[in-house]
Amino acid sequence: MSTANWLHIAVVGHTNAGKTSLLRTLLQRRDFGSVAASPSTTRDVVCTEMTLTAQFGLALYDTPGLEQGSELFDLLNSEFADDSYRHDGPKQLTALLSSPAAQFQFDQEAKVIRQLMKCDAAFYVIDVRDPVLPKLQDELSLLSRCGRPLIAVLNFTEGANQQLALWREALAKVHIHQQVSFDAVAPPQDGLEQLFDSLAVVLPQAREGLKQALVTLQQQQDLRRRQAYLMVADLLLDVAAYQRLVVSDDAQQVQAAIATMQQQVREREQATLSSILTLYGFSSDDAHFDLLALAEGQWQDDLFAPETLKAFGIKTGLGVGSGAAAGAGIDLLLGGASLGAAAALGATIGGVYQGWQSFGKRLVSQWRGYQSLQVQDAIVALLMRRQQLLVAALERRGHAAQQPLHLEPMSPLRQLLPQHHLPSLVDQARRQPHWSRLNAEQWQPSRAREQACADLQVQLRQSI
Amino acid sequence: MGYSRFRRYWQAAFVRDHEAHHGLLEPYAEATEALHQGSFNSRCLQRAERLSAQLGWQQLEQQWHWQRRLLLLGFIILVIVAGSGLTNGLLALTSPISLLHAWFSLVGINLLMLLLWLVAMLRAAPLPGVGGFAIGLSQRWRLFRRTRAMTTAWLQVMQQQRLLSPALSAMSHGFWLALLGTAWLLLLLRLSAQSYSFTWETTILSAQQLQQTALWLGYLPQLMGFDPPPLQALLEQHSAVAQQQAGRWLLAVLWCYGMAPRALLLVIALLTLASRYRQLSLNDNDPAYAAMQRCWQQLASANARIVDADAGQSVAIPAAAAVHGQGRLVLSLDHEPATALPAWAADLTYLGVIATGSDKRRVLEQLGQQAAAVVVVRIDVMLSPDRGSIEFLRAVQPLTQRLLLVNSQPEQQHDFNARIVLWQQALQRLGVEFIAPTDMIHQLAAGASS
Repeated sequence: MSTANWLHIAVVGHTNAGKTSLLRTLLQRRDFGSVAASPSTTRDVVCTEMTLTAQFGLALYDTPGLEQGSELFDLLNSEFADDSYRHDGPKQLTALLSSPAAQFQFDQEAKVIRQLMKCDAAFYVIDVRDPVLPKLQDELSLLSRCGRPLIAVLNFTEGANQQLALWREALAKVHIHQQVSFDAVAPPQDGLEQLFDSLAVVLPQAREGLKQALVTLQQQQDLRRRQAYLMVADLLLDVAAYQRLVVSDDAQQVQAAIATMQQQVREREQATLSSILTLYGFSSDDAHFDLLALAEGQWQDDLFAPETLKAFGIKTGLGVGSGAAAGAGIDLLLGGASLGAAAALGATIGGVYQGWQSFGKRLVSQWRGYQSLQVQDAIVALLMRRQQLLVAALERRGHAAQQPLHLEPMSPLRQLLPQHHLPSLVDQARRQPHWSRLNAEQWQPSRAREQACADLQVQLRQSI
Repeated sequence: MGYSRFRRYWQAAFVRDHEAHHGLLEPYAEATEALHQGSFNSRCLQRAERLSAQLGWQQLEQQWHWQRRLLLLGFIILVIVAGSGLTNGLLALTSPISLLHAWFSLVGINLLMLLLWLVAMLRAAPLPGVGGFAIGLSQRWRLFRRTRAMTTAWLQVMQQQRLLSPALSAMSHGFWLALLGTAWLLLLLRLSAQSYSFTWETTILSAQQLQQTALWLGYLPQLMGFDPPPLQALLEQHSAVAQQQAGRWLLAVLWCYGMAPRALLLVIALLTLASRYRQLSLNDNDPAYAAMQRCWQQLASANARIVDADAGQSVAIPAAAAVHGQGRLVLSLDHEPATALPAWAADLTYLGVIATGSDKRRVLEQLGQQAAAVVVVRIDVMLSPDRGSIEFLRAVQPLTQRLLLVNSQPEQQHDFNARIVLWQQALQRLGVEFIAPTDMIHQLAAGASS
């Protein structure tokens, strides 16, 4: 692939300002570089490529943090104050780079300047929680002499103690008017668009490429969202269609079957969680559903704990299990009776044959002394809410985040979740045991399930 | 070639299903050797090929094929029995045989099944026809239980690649073609070797209606040159030519209304199958493949390269403290967040905020002229201990008997403890004391007495 039209962007800033974090979020890679609270974490200049379209991309250069900006600025003004440098910053800095000071005392700073002078532009990353210090202003003055456009990236804007207004004022004083608020841990929804817009302003020749790249990135984001909700839809259909036949008057058998079902549903949810995390470029350890405090002082996030349902605002209502299945999140269906109306309705609208197949099998099972166990609607609703919460949180999460994502029921994102009942497709799945992979003996891929999954995905996506 | 290509997709679905149930056989990231080999499709298929071997694919596949052959054998027997039953059933009737009855016996059931198949196709029924029956049988039969997962994976690939519908059609039409072919052959043999007599019989139709019906039923054979036997000639039962014509007409009827449509539909189904076969590709929307693709994209783009390497970390070497010093000084490094200095600093000389290079030079010059007994540096621990700050402290160190650092920020901040640790580590390397503000009075008193 030709990289002739690519933009070369240096990412510069004071030590610990979050340069590598910004790159992690831009590249959507948790494993890029090394991020730590200690200074001088990045000591090499590292290049990584961000392919955006077939012809266009960004070569991003992660640079060491500036740590002696003031001292270097003073040196520049004292030792390299020749008149010929007065209006030629790059020439002055070239002279500085060839001096012994650049090789020893200021070797880290020299790497940054050298790289910036080779690039088309730079993102100057600022930790806006820091006060506007003279040493940081010295760094800015120094970098602005490189003759390359600087775009100020205001990092950690979501945190407390930020000095955003002071920073904006200070940047304006050194003629840096391209400023983008981009918190690497919780990037704004249009963060990338703002960065690209700023690049297009300072590098108008790349405007078209950046515009197309944004469209591509938007398409990729849409596709990712669609795939994530497809995973959620797949999970919901698997769980809703999950059934086990038991001898209803054998309490021991019922209990054993319930325990198996609960475990399988938990594992199935975990598998979906992992897949969605992978899809968004996170690892399996990067998120978990927050622990809930139970009355006994124990902590747990059990899907089947009544507290979990309550915390997610799900009312269990009437008909929650019966007999041995009471309170287990599993319904013991009384033969055809509890599904009778649904089956009859399904038979009318969905086709007599399918309706009879399901209903008829139930009646036969009932006649043979078996009854069916199904996961309750409340649990399916809980699964839906938790997974929707997960997707919503991941869409707003930067890859620079160091702490695992806590999916707490009281998260502000909860407001995004729909309040209405389960989609009708979930109800339809109840009558199709062969739609569930958890029913190993009956599972059968079908066009109808594929279509239901695709439709449910659309419903889930539109409901948020 | 065709099968081996399909087989790879089948293996991918098999592994994908297994992983959906039991977790990943190996993390996606483990397939590093495959990362730079071809498209996502081929890399994914390679992974599946390797992992399916771990799941005993070969043995299961042999068993699967054996079971399919068993099923095929069953169907062949069924075809022969049903085909010969069709002919024998007709020819066993009391002579003369009604041609109307013969027509409906030979092709009526086929046309009815064809119609049902058509309705099922239009209604997109899940597994229509004989093919669907065969699959259903293989999924439920206890003998086939061990290879059930393979059948499910097969079904999944067939479904996703839009191969199932033409394959099931081909199976249905193939079955009926074979059945009718058997019937036709037997009919040909029996009519060639034995003498049968045919007639046009009816109870409720008039002669004219019967003639009209005979024309309709014989429309297609007539196009091929097989005219229906004339009504009058057969009714008189004397015309040997008419009997011969009736026999030939029946063979033509079976061919035109039975075998030919089935053969035509079989060819169409096979052509559709072949064309869709050529377009085999993995379904990117499949959640499992989407996650895998994402993971590999990330790994493949992990081509971060060092373009300017670090020459080695410079280590700040601690300097010895001054032997003698006079005066107790306090300064704020970089900035001073407090509006007023704390009470312990009341007796100390405040040098102000030391933030620029010239500020630092001024302090060092002052201390160079007269070393201090104690220098207290107020720092903002929320700032990083950068090299500029550490170098300044190292420069102050030999110009005072005692260098103390104290935090100037409120302690109830997020990350405060982690930041303190960073400063402590940096100062430890220099041999400089970091003092809690509450201990400062005692430290200063100790400094004064010494």
